[in-house]
Formats: sequence, C-alpha cells, structure tokens
Amino acid sequence: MKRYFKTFTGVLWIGAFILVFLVFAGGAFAAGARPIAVGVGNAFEPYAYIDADNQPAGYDVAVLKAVDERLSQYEFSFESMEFKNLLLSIDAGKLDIATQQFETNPERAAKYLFTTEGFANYDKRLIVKKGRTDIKTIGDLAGKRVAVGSGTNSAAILEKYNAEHGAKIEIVYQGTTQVYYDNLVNGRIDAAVMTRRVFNRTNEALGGGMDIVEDGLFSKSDAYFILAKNETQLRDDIDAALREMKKDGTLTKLSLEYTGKDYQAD
Amino acid sequence: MTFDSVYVWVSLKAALRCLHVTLLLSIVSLVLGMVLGTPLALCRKFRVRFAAQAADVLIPVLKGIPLVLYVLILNFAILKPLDALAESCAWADKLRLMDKIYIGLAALSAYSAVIVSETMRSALNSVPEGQYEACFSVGLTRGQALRRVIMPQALAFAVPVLCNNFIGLIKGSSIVYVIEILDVLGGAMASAQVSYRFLEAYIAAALVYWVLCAGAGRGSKILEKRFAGR
Repeated sequence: MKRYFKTFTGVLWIGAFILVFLVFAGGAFAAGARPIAVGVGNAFEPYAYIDADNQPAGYDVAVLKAVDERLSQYEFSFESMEFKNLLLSIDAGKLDIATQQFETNPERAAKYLFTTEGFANYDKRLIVKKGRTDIKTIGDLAGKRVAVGSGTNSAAILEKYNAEHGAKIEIVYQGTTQVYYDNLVNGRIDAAVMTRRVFNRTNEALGGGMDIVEDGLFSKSDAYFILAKNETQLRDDIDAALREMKKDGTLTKLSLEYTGKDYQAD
Repeated sequence: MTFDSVYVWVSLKAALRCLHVTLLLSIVSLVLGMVLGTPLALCRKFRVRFAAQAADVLIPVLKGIPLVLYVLILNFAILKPLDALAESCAWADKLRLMDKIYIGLAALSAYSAVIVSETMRSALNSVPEGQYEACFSVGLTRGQALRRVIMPQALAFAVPVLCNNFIGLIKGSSIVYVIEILDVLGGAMASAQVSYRFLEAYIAAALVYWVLCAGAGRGSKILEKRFAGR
C-alpha cells in the first residue's frame, strides 16, 4: 500500500513540475511580441488540415508562418477548427486571424476584414461526371442537383442565384468527400464546384470518375486571410509582408511546395 | 459581428420547413426499432435456440458502433451493390436514385433496434421471476403469459426508457447531414449560407430540437401515468 502511495505522490510531483515549467515557458513566450491567435480549417488538404503529428498544417499555415517571420512585433499561434466555426470564433473574439482559403464577397466584407493581398488563385469551375457535356455554365444547372460545402462561397453564390431566379437549382449540402464523389459518379448528383487544384487532387485520389468543365468559370476569385473588423493595423502589416513575399518569390516557392502550382495559376 | 435575433427567426422558419424530415426519421425509426427490437429481447429472455446466441454476440458489438457510422456504412452498403447492378437491371438503376431519406431511415432503424432491444430486455428482466412461474402454474401458455401478465408490467417499466431512446433518436437524426439529407439542422444551416449567420442558425435548430424533445418528454409522462393506473 505504502509503495503505491509513493508512486502516486511521485506522479503528482512530476505533474507539478510540468505545470510550473509550462507557466514559465508561456510567460517567456508572451513577453515582447503581441500574441495573435490564428484559426486554421481542419479538413482541407493541402491548404489547411491537421498533419500526422496533430498540428495545423498546409499552405495557408506555411504562408502565415512566413508572414510571422517577417513581423517581429507579432507572435502567431495556430489552432485547428472546423470550417464554419472559424468565423464564429472571430465573432467571439477568440481568434484574430482565420484561414481556410477564404474568398471575399460583399456579405462577408461587411462583417470581417480581409487582407487586400490574395495569396492563392481561387477560380472555381463546375465539375461533372466523366464524359457528361450538358452542363457548361450556372444557367445549365436549373433543375439539377448540385453539391457544395456548407458555409462556402459557392453555396452563397448558388443560394443567391436561386433567390434571384426563384429556386431553380437543387442545392445539396455535401457530407464527406467520399459520399459526394460516389453520388456524382453514379448520377445521384449532377454537378459539384471546385478549383482546378482541388479537382485534380480529389479526382486522382478517388478514382478519376469526374471531368472539369473547361469553358467558362463558375466564379473568379482569390483566397484571402480573414481578420476581426478592427484589426486594420494587423491587416496592413500582413499585406506588406505578403507583397514582399510575392516579390522575392517566397509565395511561389511555398505554393509549388504545397500545391504543385504557382499561386497565380488556377 | 453582433448577435442578431432576426436571423434566428429566418433560420427558424427554414428549419421548420424541414421538420417533417426529422419527425419522419425519428418516429419511423422508433416504431421499427420496437418492432425489431422487442422480438430480439424476447429471444434472449427465453433463450430461443440460435437466435439468442446470435443476439448475445451481435448486440454488444452493434451497441458499440456510433450512429454516424451506421449512416455512412449503410449508405455505401446499400448504394454500392445497386450501382453495380444498374448496368444489367432496370429496377436497380431506378432504386439507386432513390431519396436518401430511405437510407437514413434504414440506418436509424437499425441503430434503434439495437438500443430498444436492450431497453426491452431490461424491462422483461424487471418483472420478478415469480410472475412467470405463477403464470405457468395456472396453465397459461408462454404467449398468454406475455400478453396478459408480463408485458403490461414490463411496458410500465419500459415507457420512460423508450422515451429517452426516442429523444436520443430525435437528436441523433441530425447526423444525417453526412449523407446529404436536409433535416431541421440542414434547413437552418442552408438559410445561413448567404448571411453567414451560423450562430443564429445553430440556435434556431437547437430551439426546434428542444421543443420536439420537451414534447416527447411530456408524452412520456402521460403514458407513464396511464400504465401506472392499470
């Protein structure tokens, strides 16, 4: 019994030491630079995801880390969360920056601050089952079932289109990637919306049953970082760092490393 | 961005337009769960050969699988064979384009059958062994004993637990968004896509679920009183 008690107190001591160490380490960390909490999406390879070591990873994270290196007055810390909760956490003041290849639109711009510099091309195209040719533009989607992610800009575009044209497109909010790929290839869904890069990756990973519509874009856009409305100074600093990184080739290098393509290419 | 209750109202209306989906999913799966789960429990109670042994092995396994996996696994288990058959059979080609709500119903019902069978088993066990012996001693058959003596007592015990199972199914049915069924939660989320008022939409959906579950709780109280009265 006594032996067990000794082991138990030993564990307690070790725990106490770890706690003290963490508090001191945290204190040393925070001194000087202003801490900035960055929220990163958790399920969007290769941009924003959780790596094998449970850490936020991807192109978005790499770009922000490079930005942080250029800005000694800030100390970025990264945290992964689900896409829809990124914006909610900015609302709640828990995050200073959110990123998962966010596109801008008037509704979002009214509520959040966007960096003026984009950091990735985000043109989107329609995706159909391999060999299908009857869908070219958003106008061809009337009466069709179209899969988009909840909370994405594509969803907003389709919902707005329906509101303006009197509910024509049947919008399907996609569950997991495997489910909607299976649906698209087997005709349960008529179309999806993706960037060329995401299309290439998804199509290759899941069996190559999809085609990308080459003529005409679904939407033309770039990806930006999202900040809380009052962070204009932080935005200007990030913009300056991004401009520098575009000029000296850092952004191209990171983009090639993570996505296999230049950040300007679709 | 500040909280704006106007959007809760907007999302609430959108959520209520999909109310029938959530009701259908939860009520049908409860009823099917009882139809399938009660015989399972009886098989185990009366040690029906083969069925009891199979249930003894399978139910603890099935009990340990999360609902979301029932939904995802059944989605592929139902659709993959149909997709493969579609080339040669016209009926399979038609069937594979069915409304996904049927897959949701199948998944929730299977889950519910497992849960309800456990509820009914404990309800049957709650009736003292002496009651069974008394029935048989006056010459009742097993069916008569169940119908007239055992089940009325077991149900009185089962009703509050079944109600809890039902509430679990109402809330659990919200997981069907993973196979693209638009239920109360999905309807509320769809209304927030342009405005990005997701917090308001979550709250609207929560209100609907809360009212549904509170109603189920009320219904259970009334049923409990009726069973206690006899």
